[in-house]
Amino acid sequence: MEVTADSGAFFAGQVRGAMDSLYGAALKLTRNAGEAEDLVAEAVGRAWSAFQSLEDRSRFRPWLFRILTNTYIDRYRKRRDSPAMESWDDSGACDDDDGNFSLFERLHQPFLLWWGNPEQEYVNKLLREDINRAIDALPAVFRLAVILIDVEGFAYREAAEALGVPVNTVRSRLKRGRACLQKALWKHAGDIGVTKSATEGASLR
Amino acid sequence: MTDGKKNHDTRAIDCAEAMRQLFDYLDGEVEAAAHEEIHRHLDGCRSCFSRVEFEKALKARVRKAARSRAPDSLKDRLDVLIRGFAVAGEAAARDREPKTRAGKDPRKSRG
Ligand SMILES: [Zn+2]
Repeated sequence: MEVTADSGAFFAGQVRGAMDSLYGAALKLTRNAGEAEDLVAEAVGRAWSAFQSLEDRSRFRPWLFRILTNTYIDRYRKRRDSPAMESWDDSGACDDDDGNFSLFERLHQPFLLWWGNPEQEYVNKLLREDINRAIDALPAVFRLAVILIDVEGFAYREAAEALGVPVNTVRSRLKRGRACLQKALWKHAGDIGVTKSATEGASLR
Repeated sequence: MTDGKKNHDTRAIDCAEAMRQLFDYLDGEVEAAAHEEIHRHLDGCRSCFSRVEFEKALKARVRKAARSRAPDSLKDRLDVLIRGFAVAGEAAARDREPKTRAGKDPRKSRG
């Protein structure tokens, strides 16, 4: 495909429309506002250079996020020895009972039910900072799966294209990411007073 | 996790099956027929219904909390970048045109 004024306008429109999502994903990957901006700018530059090779324009969004992800990995590889180094695979340490941890099951306990609807109450009391802290603590590959699907609303197939992995890998990363996130939120539950008796009574491991 | 009610529909799924598909269902990733089966199960099962409502609420809460807006500094930076691409793209398009017809040729505006 030739790069023409028409395709330039298409590219500009797509990037502008995806800007908040790109920045959001970059911020969650880098956990640093300045680095997130640099990452997005570099990825958009790379995307423009590669734009002619994109055959199906309807796949622009996953394609752009694939470039963002690859740019992040390349940048991270360059400073392998830095303390910010993080593994980029599915073996990341994630305290999630092998993907089986369920916050609902912990909250939905008979001795808590006198209180009405503890699960709903818990969700209502969660603070923005609590959630972001828990997401930021996830290993990178699980974090990105949660961001793409739960936050940015990608379909599994789109996320698979964005990550360059099969749909089933997306599904398993999402499962572990969510379980790990829920466990982090559960550990924090006592602090916000929702499940004081529960967290005191139950083992946290 | 059963609530003791027996469903006589031959295609009815049980709690284990409904919960196995919980996240695919929440993420809109199940086929219409499976979606219908799960839906029917949830209509008759308080326990699974509560779980689905919880996961749905948590997902919405996470989405709301973790979304970001690109700062103006990034918007400006990308605008400058994109304008630069547009200029480079127009120059490249001009270079491809026959010398005698430099300027506007509608055929060139299609990708
Ligand atoms: Zn059930």
